[in-house]
Amino acid sequence: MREKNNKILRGLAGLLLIFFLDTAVVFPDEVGGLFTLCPLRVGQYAEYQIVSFENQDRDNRYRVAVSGTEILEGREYFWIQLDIIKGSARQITLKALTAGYDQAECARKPAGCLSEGIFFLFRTARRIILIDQNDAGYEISPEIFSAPPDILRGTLYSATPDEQNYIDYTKMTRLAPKENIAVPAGTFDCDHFQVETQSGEDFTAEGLDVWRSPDIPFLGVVKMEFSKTNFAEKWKYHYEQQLNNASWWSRLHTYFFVRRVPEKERQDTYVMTLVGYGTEKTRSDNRPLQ
Amino acid sequence: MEKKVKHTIIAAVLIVVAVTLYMLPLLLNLDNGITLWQKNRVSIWYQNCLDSFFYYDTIAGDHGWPFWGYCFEGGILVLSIPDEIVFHPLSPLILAVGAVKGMNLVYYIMYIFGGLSMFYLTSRVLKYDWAGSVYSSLVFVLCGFFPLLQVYGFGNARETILIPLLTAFYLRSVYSNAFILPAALILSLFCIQSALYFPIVVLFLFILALVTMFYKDTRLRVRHRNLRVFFIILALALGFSAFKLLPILEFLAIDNGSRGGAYPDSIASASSFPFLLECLVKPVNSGTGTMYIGYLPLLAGIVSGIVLWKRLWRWLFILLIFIGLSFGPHAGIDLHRILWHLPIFNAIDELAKYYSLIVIFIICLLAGRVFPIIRRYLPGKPGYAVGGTLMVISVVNLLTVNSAYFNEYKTKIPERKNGEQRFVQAGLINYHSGDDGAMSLLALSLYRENIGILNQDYDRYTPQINNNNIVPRYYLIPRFVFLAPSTKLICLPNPAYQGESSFLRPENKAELIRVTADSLAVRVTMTGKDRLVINQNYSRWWRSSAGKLENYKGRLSVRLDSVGSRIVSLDFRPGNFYLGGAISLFTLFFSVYFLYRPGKPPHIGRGENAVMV
Repeated sequence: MREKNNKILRGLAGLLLIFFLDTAVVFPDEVGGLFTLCPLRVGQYAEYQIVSFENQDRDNRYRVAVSGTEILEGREYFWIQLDIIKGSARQITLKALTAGYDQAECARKPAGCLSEGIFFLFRTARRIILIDQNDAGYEISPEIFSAPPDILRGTLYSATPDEQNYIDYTKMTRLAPKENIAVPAGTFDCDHFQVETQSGEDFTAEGLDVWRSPDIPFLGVVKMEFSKTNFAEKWKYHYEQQLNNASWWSRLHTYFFVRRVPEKERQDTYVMTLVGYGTEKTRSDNRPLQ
Repeated sequence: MEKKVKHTIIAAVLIVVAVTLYMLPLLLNLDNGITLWQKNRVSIWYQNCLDSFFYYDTIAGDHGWPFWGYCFEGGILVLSIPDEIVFHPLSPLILAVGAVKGMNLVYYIMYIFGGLSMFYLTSRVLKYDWAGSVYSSLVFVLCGFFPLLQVYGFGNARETILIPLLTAFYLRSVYSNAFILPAALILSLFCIQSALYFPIVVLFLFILALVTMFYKDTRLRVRHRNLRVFFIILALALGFSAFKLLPILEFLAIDNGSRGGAYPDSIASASSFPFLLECLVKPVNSGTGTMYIGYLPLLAGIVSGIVLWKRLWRWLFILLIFIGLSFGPHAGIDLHRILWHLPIFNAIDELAKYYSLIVIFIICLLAGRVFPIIRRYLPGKPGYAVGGTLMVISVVNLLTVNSAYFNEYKTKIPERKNGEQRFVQAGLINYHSGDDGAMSLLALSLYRENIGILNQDYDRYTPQINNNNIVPRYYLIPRFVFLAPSTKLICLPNPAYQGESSFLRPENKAELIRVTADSLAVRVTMTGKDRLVINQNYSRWWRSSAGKLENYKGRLSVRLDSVGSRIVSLDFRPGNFYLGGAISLFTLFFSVYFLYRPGKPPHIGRGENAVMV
């Protein structure tokens, strides 16, 4: 009898474990199923602009391209080139020799695919080349992308919302079947995915809006709004947290005074838009290494 | 004791007590920094904090002079940053009590000086009655304009609270030469500390000189001395500030030209009538330009302006001009656009922030004038009751509402890892420049880890340095460059980094063993002639203990001939600062001699309160 009970308990525990694991990784089918990616082809490129709140950084560009292929151990690898541009000057270029995305994995775990962008390709690359402003190329270890040095650990900056950034992807939903989105690269019928900007949540929880089209290379992103936070809510949360540990004077002061200076609501959003995409001739800029 | 002296002492005590109560949340947390994020953004206060730490660490820690900012942009002349605190008259407080506590105490003292200045202007120069003087002073010092800019981190607005003192000295100097020197000294403080507020204050003083030139005797007359005194004060102030202006001019000369205002950007935050009203009477933080005083002081100012317009027309005229300037294109005539064609004015990007200083100052001045009106229409006890009620309600309201800003001091600033880690530099790649505060906090955080920062985007009035040849130890890249929805920074070691000092030939070895704000020391081991390259921007003011100093592709370098191991020392001796200092001292002695030499009576005009009553 006792053994039977143990079996039942073990079974229940197993079921519970499966249930919790499932809820941790599974997304609504409609979200995962729509995350199909355009296969990588040589010459393919997509160029983005990211504008921060107050419409700053308009001169920044991010160009991702497949600049070539290489066969390693009988398998085709792609050279992914990321040019980081400010104004008319290229800041640095990073090139990664990578196997590309796993389509099935991306459809199953869209959050993993989306949250890392093309960083995943660098993290799993076989080789990485960094080309600096002076056009000098250096081979760097791909392992650096898996565990980059954390020079900001424990600093004040590491506590800012900029650095704490957290998006609850389990809340990601698809809003409408198709939305017509106009960006500098053209107008696209897009799937709109959203993590709603929640009120009353942890101040580091951010909202997200992504418009995707399977015709766009790499992640299919046509437009993305991120770092969406309702700062008035953050403000409130912040004070409530502070009050819990505050002195009687601070509590009294905050009760009478602080609430009299309420903040206006505004969403501090970064917007990434597609400014160009397509396929061009293979660029012969696989420079020799120094 | 004379009754007048008694009243002055009571007023001074009232002002000090009010300011102390007002700033009590800060005074109870003097060691704390500002809240990390306000409105989801980090305050630029952290830039002030960084300057303060650099000043403190250099003098108290390294026993040097804060001349060369080795950790900013690959090395810049610190003296040339318009609002750094090195030469602030109260900066020794920072050395005495520490960087953060000192900085907070400087603010407290400035508020007290500001309140007393307003009392001096209104009671001694403009001859207000006691209640009017106290009312104007308290409304001015407790208004929302200064604390908002303080918690936002606009340290250059700190000294503007002394504008009543400048006005008072200017008005008195029209009748007595003895006040020219103090007026010039106060204006020079604006020049060396207040950056873009300096041209605003000069413009205000110029308009004040123009409108006070005219007076009616038996007929309309013009007193040219007003304008002459203004130009003398300006010239002396520039002379006193020469020790700072010469380094600033050199700094401006090395600007790579990428700065410069675009007019549409400059008017992005132009005020308007509803916004102005909101900034004055709504107890909300409406962003820069907020200067909450509440309905009663505003009403008092309006009543004074209407009833006494014949006496106050000059102040009303200046008020209208500056309201018009803050409105930019929202005004009938875009006065700001005319000024924007002038140098310095074209760097002004937040109209409300700058022009509002004069707006709030004059409104507070006008508000104090309501007390004679109350007495005239309500003589005796009813007048006292109404005046007293007005004073109490206004002051209590301002105390309760605006002191909330000082509740923002909650953050403990960690200690610097001095000596634990060798100095290196990190280069920012496409950091989100919309958030100046976060960038300044990043710079402070890295500084505390002994890491300098490259590509920090300063305010528009600070020139951009062309430091492309400085080789960072690390690249700091926001994750969004990888098309990820994140502003987090990724740190990549730079494979091209060869150390903070190196030789062109790899067989020779160099190690930077000391770096301070006025000296460098490199241990070298050489087998043949070579060029020692130091990973700092070149400046002609460095002096080397060995070899010849040269500019090597924008970096500091020394040609060394002798072989063997030794230590090469470099000292920073900024000649432009010494020359400027000599000019400043000469101007001071020259002005003291001519203005106060024995036997020269001060110029006495038509009486102290003939014009601005």
